Parts: sequence; structure tokens; C-alpha cells
Amino acid sequence: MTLENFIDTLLNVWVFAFIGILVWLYFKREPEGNEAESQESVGDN
Amino acid sequence: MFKNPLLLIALTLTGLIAIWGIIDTAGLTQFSSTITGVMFTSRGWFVMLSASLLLILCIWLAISPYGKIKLGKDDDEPEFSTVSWLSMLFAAGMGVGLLFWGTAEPLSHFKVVRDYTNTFRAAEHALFITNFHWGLHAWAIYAVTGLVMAYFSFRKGYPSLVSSPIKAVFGQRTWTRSVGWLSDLLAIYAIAIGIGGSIAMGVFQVQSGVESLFGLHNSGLWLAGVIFAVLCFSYIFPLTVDLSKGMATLSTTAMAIAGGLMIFVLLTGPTYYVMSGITESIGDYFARVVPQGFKTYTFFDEKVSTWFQSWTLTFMVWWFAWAPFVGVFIARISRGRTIREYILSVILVPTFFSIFWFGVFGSVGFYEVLELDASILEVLKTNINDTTFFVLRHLPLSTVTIVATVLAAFLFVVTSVVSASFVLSMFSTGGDLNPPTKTKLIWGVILGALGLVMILSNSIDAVKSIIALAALPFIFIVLLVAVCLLKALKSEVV
Repeated sequence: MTLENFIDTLLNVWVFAFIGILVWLYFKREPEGNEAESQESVGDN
Repeated sequence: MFKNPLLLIALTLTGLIAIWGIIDTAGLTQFSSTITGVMFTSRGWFVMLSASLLLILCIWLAISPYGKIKLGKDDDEPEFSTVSWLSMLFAAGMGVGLLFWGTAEPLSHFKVVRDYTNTFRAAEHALFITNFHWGLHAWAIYAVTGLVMAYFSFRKGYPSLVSSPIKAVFGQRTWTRSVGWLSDLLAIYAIAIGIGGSIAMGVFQVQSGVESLFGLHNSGLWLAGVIFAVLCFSYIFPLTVDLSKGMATLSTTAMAIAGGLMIFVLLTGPTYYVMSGITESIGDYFARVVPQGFKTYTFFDEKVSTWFQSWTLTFMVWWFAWAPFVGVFIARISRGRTIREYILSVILVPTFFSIFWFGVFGSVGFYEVLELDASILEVLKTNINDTTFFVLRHLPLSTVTIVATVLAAFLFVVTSVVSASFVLSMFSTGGDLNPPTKTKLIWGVILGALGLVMILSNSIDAVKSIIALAALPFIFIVLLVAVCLLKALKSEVV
């Protein structure tokens, strides 16, 4: 495996993992009250 | 100000890039070209798939029952009349890029495509590809980003920050704070580098116009430096006072000049040829736009792959770089509109305008090449910045039209930098709608320095690769906030 192939694999595995996380986040059930809780402090940096 | 780590890190990061670019312009250009090349080779498919999925998401939201939801409270009414709203959308989409690329882009594609087919089909395809770059996909990226901002700000009452949807939907957790913080940082970074590129393009355009007016040849960096200094002087003052209405007027003036220029070229150029070109490109565009969105030119040769990376992929990530900036702007003017009205207007109106714009400037360029055998392709090769002016010089009243183009380019850049300094200050101060003047001024200086870096590179290709490097990470953020919107919409009763 050349270095180019290895980097290519790494970059794409990151993308696959990201897509997986997005799908999981979409279907994940959120606890009640998330919104009210975060509205209070969402602007904090 | 010094107690705000996001602001400090964002200023340091963009400042370091600017310093690196000023000290070693060739090094930065080489670095960004190499990294962008690797990223585009490995993730080109992901960029195209993301842009296409965002377009599909827009169409689905517009036709679904969610389309009835208002961007605001249920009794909010639109702040602007439909006509002013649509003109402002035009103004947002009409940047200096359209003035720069009007003729240059279709002809650049033509030069490549004609090696694979006959010249007439090459012209047709070149116009289609140009429309593809500036059409529905570009505006879908803006529309989704703006929609997320508008929905969470006006309907849910959160600050206008890229991080707000993440914290709003997933709550205040360690990961949402970290990812939210990183999203704001990446948005700031993408906007700053994107605007730096816009400054450089504006300066290149004005420089060519001035050279054309005064018969200067190869004025080099000194003229670019003078124009850059005038530009900086022009945008620093508006940053110190509240000129929001004045800026809107300047932006509309630039838009009116560009629109007038388009009509002038249509009427004084080969009108039948241009109108035929526009009609053909409307049909061609809507017939082929969806499959083109999934095209990655995998099985073509090296020349086509390079062309695909340096045009299609670069443009797509360019729209991602501008998305937080244009998104905030279109969100701010869209309060009280329904999601359906918002999406259909944001993706369709500017797309039709772009088809007309490139139809006019592109067809005039092709007329020069195919009917007059003019030397425009030589100009494109030796001085791409001069292409628009070459076309104007072959039409009546060229001095007036060249002055108008220079003026419009200048106004577009000034208004973009002033608005971007405001948005960057807002993002870096936790969504403060009245950010301190000092912060706006610092951002103005940083944007100027980034613009200077890109001017020093003295190459539009270098500008494109530096922007692409900044924009690539932001694709992940746009997709993440789109998921936040979809989750939030599930709780709406429609």
C-alpha cells in the first residue's frame, strides 16, 4: 500500500464515519427539555 | 475583547495565515494547492454528493407540509416587500465573481471541452457547465445554511450563530459545546478567507479596467497596490459608523449597474445570437442539471480530472465557504416568509438570473470566437482578468461601460467587506447584533491583509486553491446543521 493510498483510505474512512454519526444523530432520541436548557446558554462562548 | 477565546483564536489563526502569505506567498500557494489536490482526489465524490443532497433536501422541504412553516412566529409578517426582497437576493448572489467570470468562465471550459467534441457542442456544454456552477446547487448550499439560521433565530429565538442549532437540538453537553465552538471558528475562518479572495478578484478586475481605460500594459503589482490602498480606505470608514442603510443602497447601486450592463450588452451585441443562446441554455440546464450534480468524471483522463477539480469542485467548495456569510444575510431579510416561499425564491430566482447573465456574456464571447474569429482566446490565456473588458471594447460606448464595470466591481467588494466584517464580529462575539466598532475594525484589517496575500499571489488559480483549503472543513458543518434542522422540524405540528 502506497502512502497516497493510505492517506486516501484515511480521508474516506473519516467521511464514512461522519456520515454514520449524522445518521445516528438523526435517529437518536433526545431527552425532553433539551431546547429550554440550551436556550438559556446557547450564546456563551 | 481579550476575554473572548473564540475571537482571539480566530484572529490569531486568520492573522497567521495572512502573515505567512505576505512573507512567503509562493509557499502558502504551493501548500494550499497540494492539500486541496489531495482532498479533491479523495473527497471529490463527497463534495458533489453533499451539494446534490442539499438540493434534494431543498426541493423536498419546499413540497413537503413543512413548507408551510413560517421563518418566525406564526403571526410574523415579511419585513420587506416581495420585490425588494427578491432584489436583495439578487444583490447577494451578484458578487464581483459574476463580473469577473461572465465571459472568462464559459470560454475557459470551451478551451478544454473542444478537445473532446466539435466546437459547436463544446460551446453549448461550456455554457451549461458554467450555469451548473452558478445555479441550483450553489443556491441550495446557501439556502440550507440560511434556512437553518433563520429557523433557529426567528422561530426558536436563538442567537444567529452557526453553533446555535447544534446546542439547541442536542442540548448543552461537552461535545455540543466543543463542536459548536469549532463550527463557529470554522465559519469565521471560511468567511475570512472567502472574502480575502473576493477582494483579490475585485482588485484584479478593477486593475484590468484601469489598464484598459488608460492604455497601460502589464502594470504589475504597483497598480494593484494603489487600487488595494484606495479600497481599504473606502471600507474602513463605513466600519466606524452605522451605515446599514447606506450599504444597502451601495449594494443595490452596484446591482443596478451590473443589470444595466447586462441589458446594454444584450442590446448592442448580437441580440439574436445571445437570445438564442439563453433560450438553449435554459432547456439544456434544466434537462441535465440533476445528473450533472452526481458527475465526478472518474473514467476520464488526467486533463479532465484536473479541469474538474480546478473548476467544478473548487466552485462547490467556494459556495460552502461563502455559505455562512450569504446565509446570515438571506436569513436576516427573510423573516416572516414560509419555508416554501423562501426556498423556491432563494434557489430559483438567482439561478434564472445567472442563466441570463452567462447567456449574455458567454454568448457574446462565443460569437467573438465562432463567428468573428477574434483573439479573445489569446486574451483568456495571457490575461484572464481582461476578458470582460475585451468584450466591452468591441461594443459601442466602451469607455462608459468599462468605467461602469470598474465602479460596480469596486462597490461590490466594498459592500462585501463591510458586511463580512459585521458578520465576523457578530459570530466572534457570541451573536451580538451590535458588535463593538473595535472588533469590526480589527476584522476589516485582517480581511484586508488576507486580500493582500491573494493579490501578492498574482494568480486567480492560487486564490481559488487558498479559498478551497479554508472551505473544505465547513462542508461537514453544513451537513451537521442540516440534520439539526430536520430533527427540529420533526417536532413541528404541520
